[in-house]
Amino acid sequence: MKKTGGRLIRILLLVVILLLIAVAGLAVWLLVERTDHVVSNWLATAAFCFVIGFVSILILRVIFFAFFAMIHLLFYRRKLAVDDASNRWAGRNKPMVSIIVPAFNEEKVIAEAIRSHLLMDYPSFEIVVVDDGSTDSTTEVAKEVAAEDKANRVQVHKIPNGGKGNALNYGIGVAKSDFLLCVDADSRLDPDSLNYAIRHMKDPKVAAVAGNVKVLNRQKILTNLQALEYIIGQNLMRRIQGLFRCVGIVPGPFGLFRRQAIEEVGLYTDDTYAEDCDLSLRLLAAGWDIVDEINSVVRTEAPEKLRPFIKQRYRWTRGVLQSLRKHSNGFFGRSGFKVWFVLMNMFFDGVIWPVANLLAHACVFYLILEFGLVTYLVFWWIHFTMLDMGLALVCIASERETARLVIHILIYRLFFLVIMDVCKLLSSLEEVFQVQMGWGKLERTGSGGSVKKATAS
Amino acid sequence: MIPFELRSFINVMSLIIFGGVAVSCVFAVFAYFLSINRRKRQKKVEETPAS
Repeated sequence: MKKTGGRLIRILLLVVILLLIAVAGLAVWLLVERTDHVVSNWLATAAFCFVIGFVSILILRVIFFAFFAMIHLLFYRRKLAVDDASNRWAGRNKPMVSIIVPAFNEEKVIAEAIRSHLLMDYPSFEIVVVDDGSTDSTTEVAKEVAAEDKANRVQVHKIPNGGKGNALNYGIGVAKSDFLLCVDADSRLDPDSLNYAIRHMKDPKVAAVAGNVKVLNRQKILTNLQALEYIIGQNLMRRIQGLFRCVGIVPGPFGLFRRQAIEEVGLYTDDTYAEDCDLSLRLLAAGWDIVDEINSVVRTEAPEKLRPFIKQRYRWTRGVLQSLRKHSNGFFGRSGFKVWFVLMNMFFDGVIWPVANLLAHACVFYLILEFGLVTYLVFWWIHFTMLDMGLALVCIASERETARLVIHILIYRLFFLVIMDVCKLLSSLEEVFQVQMGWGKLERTGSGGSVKKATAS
Repeated sequence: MIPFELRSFINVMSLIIFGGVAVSCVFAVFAYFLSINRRKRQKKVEETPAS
């Protein structure tokens, strides 16, 4: 019954997409029929040229990313087939892994997070919860869940508040194993996530494996838009970085590290708001490889309201820019090709592209005012929506994600991306002028639901 | 400066964009068949006896 329902939704979605393409085509045809303007003003010509250039780069970007995503998928399948043939997948040679969970005022989410770790389909692991001086009952809740596990795999430590990096370093010091899985306090791991990630550690050059972060609370439009953004982000640039084994940010919710590598570069630091990005860049500069694993899925809570969402994006952009500033030597190739490649990606995505996107929107609005072309706005929106839809389809298909997310593309560029780009632009300006900023901790809602109670193995 | 017709601009843009969308839709079909079905895979792994 469920299977038939799923098929029906897919067919309906396909019909909607085809209808959208047909309507778009009709709208463009009608627009062409009714347009007889001649552009002879130099400012308008410049604006048109900019728009044409921007759209051309956007299309090239879409095709380029989609092509590399295919190559990555091909390589990935091949490597997985080789691993399947080895004993590793038959439940052997799986090394002990320590899961480090730093937490600060996470009483609403920590219990379900630990339970999801305990339900993992992996034979040997320990969980180290480090309470970074919480003022709520995080420690008590964590201890209650720890008591549920008869195999005693969970240990809870409380330390004075010293920042996330400090808590992670403490956890690494306490952990016993050579492989460290650093997660956030709201991260919920899929049962097979560690199995997929640990395969990469067979290669002694690999320092870290970046997991695939997904949005857990998909009840609201804003969280669905973030879910879509995560999927698009992790299937485009991340796949290319993964192909070259130089992932720029090992995400906070899922980062599997080799102890030897992380200790060699000096553990986590607290001098940037993006400690994960800084650590990844130091690892790459030291010559280690960082790979990505699309099937190591971790689910986290995304902000449900606009204000916390903007705060979070502010902090992320600021942190990445701080890391760029810290590793600015890498722009000149002094830290090797991988660091240069990652830094250029980050600079383009964090600074150049948001400015170009906002400028392109401004050009279009100017042209509308100049020529009184309100219909041109429809034309602009249809074009971008269709391009974004094509891109989203590639990303969703390559992960076999929920297809209904595609529908959110209708407001993705006009609403969501503009907010994000304004955030990026403002935080870039703040970074340039060195404006003080706090951590801006995200208020958890615990709306992700519960997982089944863990049973001791 | 050479004056140009807005109609030609819209025509060219539409052609490029529809082309881009068509290519990405083809890629999406490829991606779907290349991607891993984790549930099926897990079942297969569980069924394979340890060697």
